[in-house]
Amino acid sequence: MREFDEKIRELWQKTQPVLTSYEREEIRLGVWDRVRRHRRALVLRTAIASAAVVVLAVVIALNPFGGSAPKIDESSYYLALSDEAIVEQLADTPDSILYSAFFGDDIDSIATAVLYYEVNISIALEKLTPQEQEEILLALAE
Amino acid sequence: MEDGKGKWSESVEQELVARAKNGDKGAFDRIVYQYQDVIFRLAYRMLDNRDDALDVVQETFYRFWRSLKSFRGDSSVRLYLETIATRLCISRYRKRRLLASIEDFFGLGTRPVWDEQIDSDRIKRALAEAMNELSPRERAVFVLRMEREYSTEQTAQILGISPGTVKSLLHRANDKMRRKLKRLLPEQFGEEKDEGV
Repeated sequence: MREFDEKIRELWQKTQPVLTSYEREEIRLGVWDRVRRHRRALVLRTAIASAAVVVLAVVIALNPFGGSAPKIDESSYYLALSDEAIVEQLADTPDSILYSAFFGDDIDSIATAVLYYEVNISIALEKLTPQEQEEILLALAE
Repeated sequence: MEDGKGKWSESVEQELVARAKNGDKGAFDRIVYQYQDVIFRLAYRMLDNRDDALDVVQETFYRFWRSLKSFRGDSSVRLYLETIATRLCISRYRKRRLLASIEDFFGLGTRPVWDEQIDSDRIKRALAEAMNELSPRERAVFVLRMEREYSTEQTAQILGISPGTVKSLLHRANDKMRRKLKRLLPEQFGEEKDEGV
């Protein structure tokens, strides 16, 4: 193992990537560009939030739900867990059962499963129609 | 402090962070200038693509800027930046692998994962190809060990996983790399005396 370590370190040093001066400047400008966009978005979000508070106040005043609290369903429990905790909890469950029971069979659920969890792509995608498969491919390619 | 450009010490770093917190753009620029190379190397090793790596470097510093107010200096700026960059890279690399799997499923073939500069060099290509065998977390652990020689505990802290998981990931990564490189570069890796240890 030590011999491998030495060889791979030698290879690593030989192939070390280096930034050009142009790229250094590009990074600096890119960071500030993101900061500016962030500030603009913040101003916009504040304006939207202010409007939303007014709408919420009106909705509460009208009380269209009759005062009943929303139910806490099973999905809320899973949403509260970290990705790792979910994977550990469900490690022994067969894939096919896991997809249907946990992620569901609809395109949005499968897109979530494919994007955020390391699921078997073939099994997940076979549940979709050809049209839905195309849709998910386009969405992921964006 | 290593990898420094000019005079750079912990006290200088703390002062620059304090000034950046108060809106001093020049101070933040100096932090960017100080650490952009190490973050770029980390990102490039993780992603094998120059443009993606540059994007991750920008995003890392941008996120650091966003969290400046809450940055208390419990860890060094460098470790903090490396943590952000590593997690961004894992997420991107995971998404890229998923896209490649989906393309395979649809029979679209795989796009090259290394850029032309790497493609022109057989050794670089072999290294890139061997690293593509690794899962996102295996790759992150391997890159952090090669770039920084962090301890198991430090690597665990960066990735937000247990030290035991780090050891296991590193063992698997080394094993995969050794096998692949033995096949791709037999003249360099073909005759290891302690194979299987």
